[in-house]
Amino acid sequence: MTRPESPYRLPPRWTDRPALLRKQQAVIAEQQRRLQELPARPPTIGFFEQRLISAPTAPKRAPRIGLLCQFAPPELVWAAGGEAVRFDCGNSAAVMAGEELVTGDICPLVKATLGQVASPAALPNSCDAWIVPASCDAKKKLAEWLADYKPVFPLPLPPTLDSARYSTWVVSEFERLADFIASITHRRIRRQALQAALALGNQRAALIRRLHEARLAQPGAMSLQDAFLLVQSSLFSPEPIETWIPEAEMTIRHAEAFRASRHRLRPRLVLTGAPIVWPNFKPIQVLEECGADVVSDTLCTGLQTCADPARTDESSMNALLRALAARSVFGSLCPCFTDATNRFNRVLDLVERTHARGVVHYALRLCQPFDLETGRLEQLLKARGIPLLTLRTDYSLEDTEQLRVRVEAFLETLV
Amino acid sequence: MIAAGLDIGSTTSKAVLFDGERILARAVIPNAILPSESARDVLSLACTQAGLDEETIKAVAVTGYGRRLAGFGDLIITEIRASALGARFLGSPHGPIRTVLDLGGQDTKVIALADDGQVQDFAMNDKCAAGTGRFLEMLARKLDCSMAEFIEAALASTAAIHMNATCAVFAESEVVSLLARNVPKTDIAAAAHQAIADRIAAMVRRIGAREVLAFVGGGALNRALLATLEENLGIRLWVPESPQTVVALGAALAAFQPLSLGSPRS
Amino acid sequence: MDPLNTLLQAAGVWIRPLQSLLVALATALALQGVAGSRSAALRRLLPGAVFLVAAAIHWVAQRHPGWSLWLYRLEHPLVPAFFLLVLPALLLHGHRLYPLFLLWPASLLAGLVLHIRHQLLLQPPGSGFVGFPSAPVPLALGLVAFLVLIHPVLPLRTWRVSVRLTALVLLLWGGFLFRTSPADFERAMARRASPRNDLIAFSETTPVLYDPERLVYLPAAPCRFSADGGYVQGCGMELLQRLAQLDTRAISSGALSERALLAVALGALTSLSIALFLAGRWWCGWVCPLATLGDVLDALRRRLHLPHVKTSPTAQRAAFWSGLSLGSFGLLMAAAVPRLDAQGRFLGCKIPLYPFCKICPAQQICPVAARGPTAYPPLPGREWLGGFFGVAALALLIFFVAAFALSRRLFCRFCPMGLLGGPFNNGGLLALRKRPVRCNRCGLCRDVCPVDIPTVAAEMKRSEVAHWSCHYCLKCVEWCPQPDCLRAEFAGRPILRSHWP
Repeated sequence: MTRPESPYRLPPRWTDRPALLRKQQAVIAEQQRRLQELPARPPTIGFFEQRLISAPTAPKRAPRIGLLCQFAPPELVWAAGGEAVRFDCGNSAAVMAGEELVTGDICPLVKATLGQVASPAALPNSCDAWIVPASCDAKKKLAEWLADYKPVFPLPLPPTLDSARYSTWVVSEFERLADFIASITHRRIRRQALQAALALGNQRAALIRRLHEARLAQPGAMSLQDAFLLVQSSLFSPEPIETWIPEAEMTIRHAEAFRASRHRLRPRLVLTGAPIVWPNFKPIQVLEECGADVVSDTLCTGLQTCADPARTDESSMNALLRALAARSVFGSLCPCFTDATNRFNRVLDLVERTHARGVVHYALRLCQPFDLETGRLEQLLKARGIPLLTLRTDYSLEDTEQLRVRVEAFLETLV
Repeated sequence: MIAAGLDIGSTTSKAVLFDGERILARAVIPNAILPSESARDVLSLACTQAGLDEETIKAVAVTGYGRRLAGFGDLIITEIRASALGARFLGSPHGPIRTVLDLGGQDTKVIALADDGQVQDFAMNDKCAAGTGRFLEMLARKLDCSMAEFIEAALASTAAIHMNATCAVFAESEVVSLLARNVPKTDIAAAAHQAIADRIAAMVRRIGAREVLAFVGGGALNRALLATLEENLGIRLWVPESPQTVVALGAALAAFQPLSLGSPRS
Repeated sequence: MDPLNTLLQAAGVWIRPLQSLLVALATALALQGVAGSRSAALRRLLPGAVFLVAAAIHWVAQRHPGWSLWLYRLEHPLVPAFFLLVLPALLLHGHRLYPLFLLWPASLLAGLVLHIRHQLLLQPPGSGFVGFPSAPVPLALGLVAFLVLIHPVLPLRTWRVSVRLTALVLLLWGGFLFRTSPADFERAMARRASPRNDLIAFSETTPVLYDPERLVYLPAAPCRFSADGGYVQGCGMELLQRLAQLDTRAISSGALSERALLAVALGALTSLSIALFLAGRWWCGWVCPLATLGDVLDALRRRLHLPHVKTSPTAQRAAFWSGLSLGSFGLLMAAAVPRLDAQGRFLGCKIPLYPFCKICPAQQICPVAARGPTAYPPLPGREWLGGFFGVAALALLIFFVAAFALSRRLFCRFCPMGLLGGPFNNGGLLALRKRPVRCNRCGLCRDVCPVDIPTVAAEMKRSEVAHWSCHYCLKCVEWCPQPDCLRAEFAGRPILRSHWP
């Protein structure tokens, strides 16, 4: 590793209180119970639910590297013979654990992740190292915190999404990242292995795309919550993606074959905004329970960004890394960059393509980039006559009723 | 047809009986323990007032915080839609209603209407006490006044002082320190009204208020607040008759509209 | 049994409008004009009507001797393939009855096979292997028919390679395909029998099917360095040099022979311009044999999984200006040709007849590709302009090899032949369009572009993304993963759209 070591490494702080752990389990159990009440669940959905829930206790067959965000490509870890797992946390009880370490107006995702990190038995601590993209301010500083616990690679990102200018730089950062990963897994990343890893990742992307199209045609085929379950079980579980692919293929085929027996009268909506991470499915739940069909989303943990392939017409190592950079970094819809063109484009395009009646913008409380984009998104959609509802909330379930009344009022305006 | 509109709020429940042209009865009661009880009670009270049997009510529309907990109802709609419908129906003598400000005990809503009366945009404050009726209630209690006395005191104020606190909890302590400095109660009451008016006005401006602005809900009975808001916003506010029951009236009106969107559980 | 050629012969003058670039231009413009129209009837009927009217005008004008000659100069044996195969294929592509349409190119190909067989049988026995003699029009029809037939079954990449290889074979060794008889071949070889070592003779440029009234040029096609000449004269630069070589004094003083040469050259220039307007620099991407040969080196690099060198804007600009300067310099020297003295000197300097051709890398590459390494010609000696030509030829050859081996198509930014087509990219009938709302700026289109064009990726407001260096390889459209973000259009009709893999 060529990173300079920080002179300020502090002893890691742990919080292992059984009460908090029970609370976290309760949150997950509650979410599972709510999922049971969904109509028309695919028969094979149990596999994905199980995969997601058992992630912390999944057997470790190879060096495991945790990723915090869509920017870090898991293909690099796969190519090095390692297990890749996302460890962003969506558990509201974990936020409380995190608050024992950091106080202040910090985004709940960071607090929850920190809360999990400070818990020795939780998923992040089964990893040998972590990769933390320096996307937003909170994540940048989180990397510093996490380095007290395990080897961390803070992945720098370009300030603007100017691929002409920064593509080569991002590729050089990916090369450094590849060296870091190789030092953890003790296996160099070879060109053929990386090519095979990209092919696997593209298989998953193709499946997610098919799922997206199937739900567009038949929203009743699968609830968006189950669709998110399917997608996130491939990201947030360290088990090999090869076991996920055939099950997903089967489930998606089932969804593609679905034919609704009655007309679908629910208003079609596009969901955009902050990541919705298991078990915090609250926004989607509220939307679906109030009678909307969320036919598409632009979420990085959802059906859109995961659907982009990493492609290249060349076969050199440099070209493969460039392909990963193009998909993971430059094609991103994240608001942490200096312009929101990608996301605004995607929202407008989806509204047109999916014949949506309106857009729901889910802004995570205390997330500055999303807060600052909200106003501009509102103006943009208003100018085009597209109805927009902004839901500003955090992980806790206490404001579910308030969200409900807003969603219902919004849906009433759509008829 | 006679329809009943029920507004099951957080502190009070309201009912309005409507026959398609005229309002037959209005009733307001403080809430019982269970919303289902409150709903039954207020409906029977309204029927008694109108001298009608409950069987003559052919449609019941429920709105408000407890709309799903009432246990009965042929139609469930949100207070936003009901508020818009009610205000628009009553109509102001000054021109068409284009904005509705609903100041309740525990939440505040601003609704912008399109030219045809449809809800175009709305904003709600239901998470923070400042900016709702609760704020004034808390401060009135701190000054050891009833709400009526508090309002009279605000109207009688001569000096304009400024309250720093925006949070209701901090405002309570600020009131104590103002009393200790011998600031007259009238001025404190006026300052409290200013503070809440600022919050509400900010919300109204974000939505973009257009005349005529209908001021409904329990808070609209507060003449001091009405005056302060008119001064702050610079536009005419119109308070309809019985502002507390406008939402319930809107619910009753909704029952007359052709098939409206209800949720799957209605 | 030769149904195809018999039919063509019987059609006689009726077929001439089908060979006319003017009629093709009118039809294509009509297609473009109705592209945005909402009236389906207009879209379907107007281009056909315009074609018939233009053909009628052409047929009538043929009867006038002066006009007939000019019309003849603007005809081209590939144009019937455009009308009968390319245009219908582009318009019907994607239609559910398209497989039925494929019977038509199949029958044309069968017709070509029968024609060649017929010609072979006509040859005197024992005349030796002289290849497959064929008239140009049936040959063009048959080859294009073959390419149209294999298009539906091949992925785009493979089909593009097939087209390029076919073009390469035709243009490098094409001469033998265009002979109408063995005697024709003997005459062509006799014309080349006495090359003078110092000057490149006019005769070396003479193709197999020599025609005093018409020069046929393709925009980027070397050229006379091919094996035994083709039907084509050479590339656009040769045409420009030929024009520069004309003796202006003789023309202004009314010399008939020089005027005739001018007329023929102008006719060629006009037909070249029309061809470029119809397809922009598409020739560079799909036909140019020099690029196909260079891409062999590129394929070798890919096989070895080596990365390529991304060209900086500075390198691109340097290539462009060098190409422009060398091309202009070559033309200037060609303009001095009428004033050469008996020893071929102008102001004491020895200048060749075709100055640019003398430094063009095709001079070295095409003979080797066509006839093998033994045919490698020596570099120009020091006596030519004090060694300038020798040094320049060597430098360009090295540049060619390095550029194709390391940085894909940097050479095409330099190539003066291609530069001619550049201005036609924006506003021509072949267009590259983008829907910026579908773009997520991943930059993949820029990464796959062999010429490293940044404008397709960078444009986020308008839908026009033409660039003068673009040679329509359509890799950007092929590789863009967003559905219908990029598309290639011909005459307003989309012929290729980007889609999810």
